[in-house]
Amino acid sequence: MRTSTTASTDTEDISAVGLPPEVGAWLREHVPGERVVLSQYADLHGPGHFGDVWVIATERLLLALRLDSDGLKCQARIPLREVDQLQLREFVGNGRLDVVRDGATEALARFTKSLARDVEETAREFARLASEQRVEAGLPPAEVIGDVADRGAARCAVCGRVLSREGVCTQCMDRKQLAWRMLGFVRQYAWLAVLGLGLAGLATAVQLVRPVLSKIIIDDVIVGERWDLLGKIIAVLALLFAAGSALTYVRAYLLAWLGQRVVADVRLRTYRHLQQLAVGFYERRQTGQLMSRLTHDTSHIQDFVADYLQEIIVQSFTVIIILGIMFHFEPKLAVYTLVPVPLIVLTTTMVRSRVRRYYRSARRRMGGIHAVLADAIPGVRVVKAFAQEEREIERFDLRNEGYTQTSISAAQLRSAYMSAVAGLMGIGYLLVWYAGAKGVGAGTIQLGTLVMFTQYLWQLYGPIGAISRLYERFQFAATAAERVFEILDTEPEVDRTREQRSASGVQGAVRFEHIYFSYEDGAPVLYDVELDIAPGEMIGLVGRTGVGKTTIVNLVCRFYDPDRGTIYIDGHDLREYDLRSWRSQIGMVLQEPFLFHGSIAENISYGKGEASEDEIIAAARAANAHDFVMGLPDAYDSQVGERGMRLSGGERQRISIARAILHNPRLLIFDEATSSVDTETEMLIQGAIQRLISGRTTFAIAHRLSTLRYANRIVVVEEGRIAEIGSHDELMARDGIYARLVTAQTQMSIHPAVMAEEENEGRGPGENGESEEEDEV
Amino acid sequence: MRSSAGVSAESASGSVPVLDPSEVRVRLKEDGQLELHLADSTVHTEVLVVPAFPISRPNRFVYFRDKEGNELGLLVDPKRLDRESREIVLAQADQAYFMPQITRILRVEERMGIAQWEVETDRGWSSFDVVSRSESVWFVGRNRVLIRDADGNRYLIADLTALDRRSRRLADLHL
Repeated sequence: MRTSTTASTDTEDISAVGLPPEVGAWLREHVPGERVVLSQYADLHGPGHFGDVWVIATERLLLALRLDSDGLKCQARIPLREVDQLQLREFVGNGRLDVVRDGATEALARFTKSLARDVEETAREFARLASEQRVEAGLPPAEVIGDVADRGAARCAVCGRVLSREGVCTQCMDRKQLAWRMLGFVRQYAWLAVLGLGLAGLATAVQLVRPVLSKIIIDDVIVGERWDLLGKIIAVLALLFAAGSALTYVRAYLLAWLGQRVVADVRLRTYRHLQQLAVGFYERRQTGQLMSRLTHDTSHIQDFVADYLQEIIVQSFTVIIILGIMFHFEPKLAVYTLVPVPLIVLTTTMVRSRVRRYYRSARRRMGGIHAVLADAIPGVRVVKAFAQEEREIERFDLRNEGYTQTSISAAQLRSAYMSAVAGLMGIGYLLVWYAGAKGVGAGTIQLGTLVMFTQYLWQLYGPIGAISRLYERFQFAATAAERVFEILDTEPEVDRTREQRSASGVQGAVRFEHIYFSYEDGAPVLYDVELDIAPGEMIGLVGRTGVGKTTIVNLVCRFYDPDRGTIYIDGHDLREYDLRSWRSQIGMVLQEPFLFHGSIAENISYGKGEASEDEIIAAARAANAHDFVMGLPDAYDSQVGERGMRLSGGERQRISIARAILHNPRLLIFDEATSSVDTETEMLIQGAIQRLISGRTTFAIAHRLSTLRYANRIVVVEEGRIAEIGSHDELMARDGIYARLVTAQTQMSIHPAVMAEEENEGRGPGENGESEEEDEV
Repeated sequence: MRSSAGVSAESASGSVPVLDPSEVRVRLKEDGQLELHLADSTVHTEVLVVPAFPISRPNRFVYFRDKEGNELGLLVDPKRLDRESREIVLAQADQAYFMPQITRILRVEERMGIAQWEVETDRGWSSFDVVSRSESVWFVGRNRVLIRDADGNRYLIADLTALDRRSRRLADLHL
């Protein structure tokens, strides 16, 4: 950390508060006797150049020291008690801290975004110190004006490094502990794992004995002319081959089974856990990322369990056995084989990381090609309409070339690596043959031993390369595991209260009492919201985007709990209700209705598993969906969703209304349910909605105010507060925000062209309703 | 970036006046606030300078806004202001959008998806972390690249082809 808030008793131990010695020297010289209370580092010089600045509060002074090429310069020296305000301003890529005294502003320091958060915190401390002095002198306390909205990157709480995209500190994660946790997944199959690894070790040993036997054939049988041994040795060899293949099969099968089993467990456990997590967890993460954790990251764990452990055992076994045999028979020759080993290890570790860089870059560039395609192919109408085919081709060509160049570079480096390693292995080969042949000639080494050595030579170098890559592979598995554990370690959304009230049979009276809420600290979304809604009442929520309408609804669904205040349902704190029981009383119809992959019937009965066909049809009829469903070739069994039948927005909307009708909730939420359909469809939907809302407490969020004509009361939300509340007529009479909105929308509808553009984007005139809807999506 | 025929700065400004650099003066007051003196001798205080194309045209098309965010005028080419005004406007634009230009790439090390860059810029030596490459690197045209670091600081490579060989190779690998 470059900030310090520790007090120092003496300028002597200035480094204890994070200040360099030259600053201490300067302070001793220029402000002798002043004790450093607090300091803050800043990283920009006045005109926008990177450089060191320290803002220091002593007992009575606020100083800003700048390190120039010719030493420290004091760029501000202000008595603390004269500080009226500290002004914090934020710009793109930088910010500044100024002091206001006597109405004039003096610059203290500029800093990059990386320090913004620290500077803000320290500025508040500076203001506190100044206030202490000022209060003594009978002056009003100093205050901090402005704040830092952009909080900067998430950093590791321990080492201060930037966290990876997955929120993992790659420096601090405890790899040893992760390895143990990964092994924990294997625990219930422990004996199988031990068996598999044991077999792997045995198979290796069996394979490695063969050259010893060939040595015996050459030295004892051929040279020593003990032909009687030949049959026995061949038999042993045959047995070894047979045992080797049997062991290999059993081991491979066992470990593959184990790997798949373990990863299937991990996936299921992670998915089960994901389903129990609160909505907030999902909001902070991208869908693709979470999906990749379940598919991609878990497969890294499989790699660890099935492959990695086995590799460690097999490879180190191989190296140890071979070296053991070599040193047993001919220590001098064994030393020669080891000569290229350090070089192979070095080349591998060095080149591998570079090759990896190229491959990573190539993968990225492939991603770039995908991005161009994902743009241009769905947007082909626009491309053609603007006659920009050539431009798109050029864009593609640029990426295509880039990818090819990187891939070629990677291949080149890889080829160079392979040939280098082959060459290095050649050194060992030459040494062994040279020294070995001389030894055989001199009679100190047996011919069979030499042949055995040459056989082992090739088997030795491979595993050494593999071992030098093991750590890198472990890194991958550990990072993947960390991401999976992050999910598993997140607390599921649980009710924190003891009492679990069942929500079945609630009337639907909703009361907000002094509700405050923010999604992130420091960015409040709702302030002191008060609402009292009678059972069966329909409330229209009106306001610009981002004022907090959806947040109100989210709180009712208990996707989040308010920061302050209480929501009462039928007079009981919402938190007392069993969460699942409460949610089952809520029906939702969203702007972009979500249909799951499956049939229309399954989608309608989604919230109620065992609905009868009668009920499904009745719900569809009530939702004005029956007619168009029956017009489809497969009627209620038509497959919809991501890969199924394409339905128009209005049709999907009505299916989701049918779903809500069948679900029969006490409380309904409409989020812009009719905003993306044409007028005729809107009427059909409105009719369906009328049938649905009767007798249920309803929240309807709408931009198009005409959809709220049946609302009992309308709530106008502005800047997180309720600005107006009342019936349509009351609010019109009041001539406030709502009245202005209505007037604006009426004026717009006078100009049909504007209207059409607003609401039926992309449609030609004259097209309407049902008959054209099939083409819409 | 290209200005197409028939579209003048006049129409680009909408209802906001295009300011004539020879008739506009900008002053920095003692309290650090900016004062804009227009040709019709109206004076706006607490004025902010907002570049419209901060990456592709950092020193042109600068808007003046008041404290409430209302646009007061567009200055197409601040270089044609009188000397004092020009220096103030360019310094303010630079502060509003701080974007050091990378002149040399010294080192890039990538570990587990976090790239640590060490660079020389026109504002001195700097090092920064890039976490999500796909969201942090913007190509503006063919050879102009903006890199946003994990904290939201911005770094510009004005022309990839103008870099030295080693920097070029590092840029190729990591962008």
